[in-house]
Amino acid sequence: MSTDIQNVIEMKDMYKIYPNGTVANSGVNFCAKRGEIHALVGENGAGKSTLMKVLFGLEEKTKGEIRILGKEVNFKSPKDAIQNGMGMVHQEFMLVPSYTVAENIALGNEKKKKLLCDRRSEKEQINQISKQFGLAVEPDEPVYRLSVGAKQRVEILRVLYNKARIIILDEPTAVLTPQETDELFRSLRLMAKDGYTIILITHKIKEVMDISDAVTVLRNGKTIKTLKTSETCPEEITRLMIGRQLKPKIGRTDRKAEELVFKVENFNVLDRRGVLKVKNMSFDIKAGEVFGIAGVEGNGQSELVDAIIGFLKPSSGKVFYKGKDITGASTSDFRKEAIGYIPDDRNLRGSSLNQSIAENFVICSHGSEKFHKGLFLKWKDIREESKHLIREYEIRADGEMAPVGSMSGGNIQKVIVARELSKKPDLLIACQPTRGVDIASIEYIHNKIIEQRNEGTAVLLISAELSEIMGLSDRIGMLYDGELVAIRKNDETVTENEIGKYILNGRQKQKEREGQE
Amino acid sequence: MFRFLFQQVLNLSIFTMVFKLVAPVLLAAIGGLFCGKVGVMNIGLEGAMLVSAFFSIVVNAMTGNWFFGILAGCAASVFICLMLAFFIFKYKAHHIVSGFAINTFASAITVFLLQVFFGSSGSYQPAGVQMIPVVNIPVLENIPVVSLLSGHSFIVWIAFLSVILCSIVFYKTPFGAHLMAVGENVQAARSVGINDLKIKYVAFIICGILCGIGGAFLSTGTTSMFVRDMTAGNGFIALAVISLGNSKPYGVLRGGLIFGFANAIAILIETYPGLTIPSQFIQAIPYIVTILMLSIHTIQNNRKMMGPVKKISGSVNG
Repeated sequence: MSTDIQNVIEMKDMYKIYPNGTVANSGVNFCAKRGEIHALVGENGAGKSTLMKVLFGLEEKTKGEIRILGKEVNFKSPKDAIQNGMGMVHQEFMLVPSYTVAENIALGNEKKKKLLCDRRSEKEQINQISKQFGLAVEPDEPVYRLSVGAKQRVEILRVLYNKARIIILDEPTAVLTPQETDELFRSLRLMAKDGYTIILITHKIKEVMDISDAVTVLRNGKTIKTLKTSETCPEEITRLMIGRQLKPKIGRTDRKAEELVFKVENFNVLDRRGVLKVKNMSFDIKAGEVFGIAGVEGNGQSELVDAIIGFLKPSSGKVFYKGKDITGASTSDFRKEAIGYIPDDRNLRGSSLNQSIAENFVICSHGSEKFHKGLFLKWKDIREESKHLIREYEIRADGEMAPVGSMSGGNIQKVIVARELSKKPDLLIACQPTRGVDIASIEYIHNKIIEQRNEGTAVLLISAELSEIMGLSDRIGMLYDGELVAIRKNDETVTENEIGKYILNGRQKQKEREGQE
Repeated sequence: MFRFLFQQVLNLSIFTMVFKLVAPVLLAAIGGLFCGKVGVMNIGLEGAMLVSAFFSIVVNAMTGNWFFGILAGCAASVFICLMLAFFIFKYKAHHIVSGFAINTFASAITVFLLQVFFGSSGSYQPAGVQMIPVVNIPVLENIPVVSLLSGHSFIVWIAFLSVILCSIVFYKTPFGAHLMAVGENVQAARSVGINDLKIKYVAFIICGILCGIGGAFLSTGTTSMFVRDMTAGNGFIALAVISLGNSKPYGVLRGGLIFGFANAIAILIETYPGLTIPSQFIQAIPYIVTILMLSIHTIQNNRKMMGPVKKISGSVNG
C-alpha cells in the first residue's frame, strides 16, 4: 500500500434513491485518509447508514463515484467489498449464536486443510490479532454466552481476520458501558496507528470529540461539512447536524415533593427461568419527582418493570399506587389508572408497526368513551386527536394514517411518548426512553419528561445512559445485580464516576451502605 | 409371545429387519436435516421418496439394472425437492403448505402414471427387476455376533454412511459451517459474503438425492413392486426422527433406531401365530412409540430450557 495516495476512500456526489422514492443520499461527498479515525455524524435519517451500505456493497448506488485507493469501484455485494479490504461492524451483530467465537470469526473465510476446516491455525491467527489490538476473546466459547461488549470484539476481530484495512463501525458504542467504550476506543486507536482507516458512524458528539481525527456531518442526505476534529467544538458539530442550536433545556423547577404517589416495598421477582432478578427492592416516588434507576442493562430492570405492570408476578413484596395496593394487578387494570408506561423496546412492546399512527395512539384507550360509540370506533375523533398529537409532538410522518413502521426510530418513540403523556398521567414509568434515538428527539423527549414532572407527575426513569439519569432525576437509585445498592439525591456533587462505581461493582459498596444505616 | 421375541433378538435376525426398516427413514431424515439446517422444515420428504420409488422401479425394469433405477429415482426426487425449493425461495411460499402440495402432487402423479402406462390403479409389479444387491461379507458371516454386519442391503450401508458423512460435512467442513450459519442467522452469513441462496438449493439437492436412494430402496430393495402411497408415512416419521435427534446427525441415528426397533417388534408380534390382538393395534405400535418418545423428548428439552441456570455472579455476601 503506497502512502502517496492520500485518500483511501473517496466518494463523490453520491445519490441513493430507493425504488419507493425515498431519497436517502442526494449529493454526498466523503473522503477518508489512511490511518485516520473518521467520524460520520448526522441525525437518524440523515443518510449515514445508507452511505456506508452503498460503500460496503449492501445497497446499489443510484449515481456517484466511489474510489478505493484511487481506483474506481462498484461493489455488487459485501463479498466484493471484503475482497477489496473493507470490513463492517454492523449495529445488529451478524453472529451465529451457537457457533464458537473462532467459528464466527472465520465464517465465510475458513482456513482449509484438504477438504476440512483447519480450526487450529484459525485460532492461532485469532489469538495473534486479539493480542495485537487488545481485543480479548475466548476462541472456544459459544457466542450466545458472551456479553454485548465481547460480541462486538468478535465482530471487530472478524473484520481484522478477513484482512480489512478499512473498517466501518455502525454506532458501536450504543450498546456498551462507559468502561467498555474506553476499551473499544483504545483498540481503535491502536488500529489507526497501524495504518487502518476507521469510519465511525455515530450521533454522540462526545465520542466524536474523544476519538476522531476528522468528522463529516451529514444532514438530509447531503454532506454539510468535513472538519478536522481539533479545529471544531461540540456546539459547532451539533449546529451543523441539526441545522439549528439546541433549545435551552427546560429546568427542573423547585417544588416541594410531598404527596406519595408510588411505592415499592421489599420487592422480590423471579424471572421466567426461576432466577431471582430483583432482590428486596424498596423505593418510593412523590408527586413531581423523578426517581432514576441507573444500572447496566440486565441487572433486573426489565423484571422490575414487568412485575410492576403485571407481566410477571413478584414472589414477594408490595406495590402501592396512591396508597392503593396494586400488587399483582393485571396489565389491563394497570392501564386503566392514570399511569403512563414507555417500554424499553419500542418495536416489540411500544407500538404495533404495521398499524397506523392513529391506531397506535388509541391502542390503550379503545375503551374510553372518547373514542368509541357502541360497538364502533369514532374514527373522525381519533383522526382529529391524532393530527393534534402529531403537531404537538413534532412527529415527522406522512399523515396520521401512515404505518408506524415506516418512520424512523426517533419518530416512533415520539408516538409512544405522545400516547403515554397525552393521558396526563400521575405516574410515568419510562424505560430507556431515548435509546437509539437522534439528538433532536432526545432533547424533545427529555424536555417533555421534565415538563410532566414540573406539572406534578411522579416519574420512574430507568436508563442505562448515565447522562440521562443525571440530567433528569431528582433522586438516583443505583442498581446492581437486582439490588438498589444506594439511593442518592441528585445534586452537584454526584459524578458519573461515582455512579459508575456503584453500578459496576455494587458488592464492595454493600458494606459501606450497611455501615451508614 | 415374549419368549418368541426374545429369541428373535438373541439370534440377531431382528437386526436385519430393523436395519431394513431404518434405512429409508434414516436417509430421508438426514436429507431433511440438511433442509432443516438451512431453516426449512421439509414436509415434502414423503413425496420425494414416493416419486423415487416409482421411477426407480420403472427404469430398473426397463434397463434391468438396479443402479440405473436408483439414478432415475434420485433424479425424480431431486426434481421434486428443487421444485419445492423454488416455491419456497423464489416465490416465498410457506414451506409447510408447499410441502403438503408437493406430497399431494407426488401421490397423484404416481397413481396417474401407473394408470396411464401400466393400466393399474393400485400396484405395479414388473418382471425383470434387478433387486439392489445384498452385501455378504465372506469371513464375517460365519462368526457369531459379528455376522450381524453381513447380509444387509447395499442401501443399509449407504444409510449409515450418510449419517457419518453428514456429521463430517456439518462440523468439519467450511460448507457445513456456511450451511448451518445460513439456517441460524442468514444476515450474518450474507454479511460475510456467503451466497445463502446457493447453499439453500444445494441443501435441497442433497436432500433430494438421499430421499431418492431411500425411495428406490422401498420399491427395489425390500420388495420388487410399487404400491400407491407406498412410502406410508416414512417421510413424516423421518421428520419426527429429526426432532427426536435434536437436529444432530447421530441423534437422528439414535431416533431412527428406536423407531426401527418398535416397527420390527410390531411386525414380529403380528406374525406370531395364534394372536388375538387386532392387527391394527399392533401396527400402531411404532407410531405410538414415536409419539411417546417425541413427548418425552419435548418435556425434557423444556425442562432443560426452563430450569435454573448456573449463576454467573457470586453471592451478595461473598
